[in-house]
Amino acid sequence: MIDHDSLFKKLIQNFFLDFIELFFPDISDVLDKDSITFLPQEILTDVRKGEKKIIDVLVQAKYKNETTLFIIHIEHQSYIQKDFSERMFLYFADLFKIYGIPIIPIVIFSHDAPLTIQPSSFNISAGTKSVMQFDYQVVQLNQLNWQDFVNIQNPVASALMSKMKMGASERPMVKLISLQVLASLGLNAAQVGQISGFIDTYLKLNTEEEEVFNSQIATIESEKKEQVMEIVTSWMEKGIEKGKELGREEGREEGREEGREEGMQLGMQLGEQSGTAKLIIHLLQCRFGNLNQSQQERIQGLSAKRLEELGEALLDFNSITDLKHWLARV
Amino acid sequence: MEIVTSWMEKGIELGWEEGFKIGWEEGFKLGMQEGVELGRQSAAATLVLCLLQRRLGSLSQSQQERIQVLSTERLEELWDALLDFNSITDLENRLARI
Repeated sequence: MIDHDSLFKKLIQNFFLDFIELFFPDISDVLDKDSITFLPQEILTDVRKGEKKIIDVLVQAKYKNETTLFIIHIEHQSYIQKDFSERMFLYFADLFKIYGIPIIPIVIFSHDAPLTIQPSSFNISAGTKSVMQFDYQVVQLNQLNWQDFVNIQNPVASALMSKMKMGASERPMVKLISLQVLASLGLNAAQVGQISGFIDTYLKLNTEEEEVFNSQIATIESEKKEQVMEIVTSWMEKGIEKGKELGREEGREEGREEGREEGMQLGMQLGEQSGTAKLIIHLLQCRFGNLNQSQQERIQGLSAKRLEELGEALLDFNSITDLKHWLARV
Repeated sequence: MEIVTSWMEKGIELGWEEGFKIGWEEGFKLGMQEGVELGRQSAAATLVLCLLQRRLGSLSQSQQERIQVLSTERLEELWDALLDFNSITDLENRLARI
């Protein structure tokens, strides 16, 4: 199960400025980058109890010197509820009631199909009178061409290319190019991990596609190839560690079970043997008086077969000397 | 939620077998120890029960059960003591002290 919500939410949260810069350059130009605050989601669940939440990321920032609220909702559903734009409006209105400041609502549509253009406004009219038009910003990924983003140095672009419009045969290429873009951005390891994880989640390749990917990677220049391979390798290494851990757990369980079975048999043999030895020592002591420590130990150390022999032989013993002789022979 | 990429899955497959071998050895050793102990205990319990019944006649179900769950050490102690038992009462007294 892919947790789309969490993947997208983390992407937008961790790369909020890149997101705004990529899709809303005009806003980005006049946004005070130091004024960004992420607001907790709880506010909204309080507002509309029992209803499915709609806002995924809530950000407060100074936009043109005015404190502004950005609401970013990610809609994954491929069918769009009829009342979607109405719900957007209602949430907007609720937030406006609480904050009373300008709000910029943004929706990211992440579904693959249908390709129909999604609504970006909600209208109320009465009779022939138009009462209100509520507009929100829409980023509909399946309307965007990945080719338009290959030269953009932006982490959000490298991630979201994986959800843009593409032909089935282009999937391996888009994956490779996204990774190349990502590798060229100079991000830290955690950021690279997050975005490459995003890319891979949405561009999981089958065996054939994998082959195409591998033959294409072989053709790119070696420095870039290494950068991409580094991303792949670091995931692979993480997997190897995880695999070892998982294998070890399972191995321990199976090994333990088998060990117990074998050990049980061995233990029974040993137990019977030491019991027999004990019995024989008792018998001998009944007949010839106490055996010394070393004699007892000799008997306890005898194999099961020897003990059986001793059990028979002792019937003919007449004195402790016979035992000594017998022990000397084995 | 931790992302598991297709590359990581490949790694998991690669690492799994190595981990399994290591784990198996560890588990086997541990299981062996446990098994030997269990086996010794069960063998000792069988013998002690056998000896007791020879000496004292048949034991009740509950007496048998109490003896079967004794540790190997306790069973050996019981063994040493049972030569002096003359009646079921001696056994009961002994079991009461364990």
